[in-house]
Amino acid sequence: MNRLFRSSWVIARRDYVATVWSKTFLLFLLGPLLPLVLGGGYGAVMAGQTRAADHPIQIIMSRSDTAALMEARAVLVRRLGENALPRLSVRSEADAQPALTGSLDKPGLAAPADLLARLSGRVGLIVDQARAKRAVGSALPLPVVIATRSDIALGKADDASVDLARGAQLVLFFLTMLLAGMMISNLVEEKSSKVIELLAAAVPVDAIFLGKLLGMLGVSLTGIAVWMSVGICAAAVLPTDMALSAPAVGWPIFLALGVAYFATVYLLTGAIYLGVGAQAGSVREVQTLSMPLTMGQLVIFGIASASVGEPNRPFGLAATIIPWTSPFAMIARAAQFAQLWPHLLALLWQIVALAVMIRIGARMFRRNVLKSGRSTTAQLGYGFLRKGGRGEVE
Amino acid sequence: MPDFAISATGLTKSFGGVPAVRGIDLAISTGTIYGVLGPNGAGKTTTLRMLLGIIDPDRGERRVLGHADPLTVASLVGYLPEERGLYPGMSAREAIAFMGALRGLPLAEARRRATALLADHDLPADRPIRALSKGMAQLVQLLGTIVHEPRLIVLDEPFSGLDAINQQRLEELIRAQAAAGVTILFSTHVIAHAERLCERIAIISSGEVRFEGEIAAARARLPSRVRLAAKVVDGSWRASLPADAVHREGAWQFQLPDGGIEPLLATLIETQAGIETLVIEPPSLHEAFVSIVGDSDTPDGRAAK
Repeated sequence: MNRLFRSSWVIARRDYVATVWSKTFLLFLLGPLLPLVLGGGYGAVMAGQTRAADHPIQIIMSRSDTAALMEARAVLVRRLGENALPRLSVRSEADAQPALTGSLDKPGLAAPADLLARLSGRVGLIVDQARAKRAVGSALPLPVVIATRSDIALGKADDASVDLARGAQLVLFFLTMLLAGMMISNLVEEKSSKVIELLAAAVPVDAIFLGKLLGMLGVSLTGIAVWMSVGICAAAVLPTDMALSAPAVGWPIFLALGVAYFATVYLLTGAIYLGVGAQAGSVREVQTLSMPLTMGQLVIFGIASASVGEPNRPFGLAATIIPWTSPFAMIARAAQFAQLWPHLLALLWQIVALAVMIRIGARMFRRNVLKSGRSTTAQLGYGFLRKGGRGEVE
Repeated sequence: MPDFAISATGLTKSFGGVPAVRGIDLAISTGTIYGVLGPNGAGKTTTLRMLLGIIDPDRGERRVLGHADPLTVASLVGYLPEERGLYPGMSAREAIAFMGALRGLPLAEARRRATALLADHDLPADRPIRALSKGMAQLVQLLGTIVHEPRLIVLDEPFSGLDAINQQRLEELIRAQAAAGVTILFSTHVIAHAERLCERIAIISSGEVRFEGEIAAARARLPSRVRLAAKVVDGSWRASLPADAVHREGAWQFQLPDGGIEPLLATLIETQAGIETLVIEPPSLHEAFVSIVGDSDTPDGRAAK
C-alpha cells in the first residue's frame, strides 16, 4: 500500500509540475474569468436598468389626486410589500420621467419605452385602488393569503437554505464539469510518447491511475484557489449587496466539506473519464467519447438536484448512496442539516467507491491497452463498438 | 542472491486467439549478459514484457530476482523498452530523475545522480528532451534505466536506431554494468551485438525457444566451412572435393567433411596442387541463427510483435 501511494505521488508530482509550469496553464486560469467579466458587464447594465426602474414616479396631478394615489399605494404596500410597487413622489423637477400626469379619471404614464411595460400594470393597480376608494369610500378588499408553516423534523429547510444547497450543488457541478473533463485525454500523452511502457514496468497500473487523478486534482485545486482569491479580491473592491444565509453546519465546516466533496466527486468522475479515455486509441476517439460522458454528468446532477430538501425519502437516499451523486447530495445536506456523522459516512463510502473505480479502470487498461489477461464483458462491449459492431475483439 | 536472476517455465501468451509465445523456458544466471535473439515478430518483446510484469502470461511461471511478482522488485530492475518513451517537455535531468524516482529513489538523490551521469556522458542537463537528437535522447533514456543502480537490466532492442559510435558506447556501458555484477538481458535481431556481448543466448522463433545455451554451442551445431584455393586450378585433386563444394570468390568453399581435412590435404600435396589458401572457419553465430530459425518466421510469429 505504501509503495502504491509512493509511486502515485511520483506520477502525480510529475503531472502537476508539467501542467502548472506550462504556458497553457495561464490560459486555463484565465478561462473562467472571461464569463465572469462578461457576467460583470451584463450585471452592470442590468443594475443600471434596475436603478432606472427604481426611480420614483413623479406625480403631476392635482393635490387631491396626488393624495389619493399616495394613500392607495400605502394600502397596497401593507399587503403586497414595499418592493412590489413603484415609489411615488410629488413632482420635483420639470420633464421628469417616469411621470404620472393628467387626473385620476384620465391618467397618463410617461416613461421610456423599456420601463413603460414594466410599470404600467403596477401603476394601474394603484390608480384603480385610488379610484375605487374615491367611488365607494373604502379600499377594495384584497385577496387573503392563508399561510401554513410545516416544521421538518430533521432540521431547517427554509427557502434560504434550499437556495444555498442548490447553489453549492451548482458550484460543485460546474467545477467538476469544467475540470474533470481534462482527465479523458490524460493518458494520451503517455500512450503517444510510449512512456506508458516505462510506467507500467516500474509501478502498478493502479498507481498510474491514482497518480494521474491526484495530479490533476492538485491542478484543479490550484486553479480553484486562484479563482477564489480573485473572487474574494473582487468582492472586497467592488460594491455588492449579496447576502448568503449561513449553512446548517456553519461556514467553516461547510467550506471544508465543499473541498472534500469536490475532491471526491472530481476523483470519482475523473476515474471514469480516465478509465474510458485510456481505452481510446486516438484523439478522435477521445473527442467522440466526451459528449456521452458529459451527458452522464448532467444526469448525475439532475438526480442530485432533485433530491434537495428530502434526504430521507427514497430518492434522496438513492442520491446519497450512488457514489457519483453522493457528493452533490451531501453538500446540499450540509447546507440544510446540522448533523456531521452522515458526512463522515458518506466520505468513507465515496473513498471506497473511488478505490473500486480505480481498480476497475486499471484492470481494463491492463487488459485492453497492455493486452494482459482475458477480456471482461465490458471490454468485449467496448471492443465491439470500436470494431464498428463487427464483433471482433483485439 | 538467487542463482538465477530470471527463471521462467512454460510462459505462454496469446493475443486475440493468436499465439505469440508458446511455452518459453528460460534460466538466466545472476551476473551474466544474456541475449534473446529472434527475427521480427518472434515473441521477444512479449517475453520480456511478461518477465517484467507489464503483462501477465496466460500460462506458465516466472521469477525475477527470486520473486514471482516482478513489480515487487521493480526498484532493482532497469528497463529500456523497444519503443523509447520520454516526456518531450522534460529536461534531460528531470527525465532521468523521474525514472529513478519511479524505481524508488528519493527525488533529490535521483536528481543528483542524473546530473552526475549526464556530466559523465557530456550531455546537456537542462535541455528539454524534444530539443535533443534521437541518439542523445536514447542515451538519456538508457541513463534513466541505470540511474537507480539496478541489479537486473532488461534492454529491448537497445541498439536499434543508434549510429555506430553510440552502438559502441552502449556496448561499453553494458560491459561496464556486467563487470559490476549486474545481470543484463537484452533482445536483438542484430546477431553481431549478441555475438560480441553475450555469454549465453536464447534463439526464439514463432514464440518458441529454438536454442538455449552458450554461443559456442550454437555455432557447434553447424560444421565448419573450408575455403581452399590452389595454383593448379584444374588438377586431378578436384575429384577429391566434397560434393557440396562450390567455387566462389576465387576459392572452393565447402563444409568440413566428417572425416576431417587430412585426406583432402594429402591429395593436394600428392598432386602438387600448390595450396594458396586453406582456411577452416567455424560457423558464425549468424549462420547458426539462420540455420536454427530456418523458415519458422511464420505469420503467426510476426503477429507476436
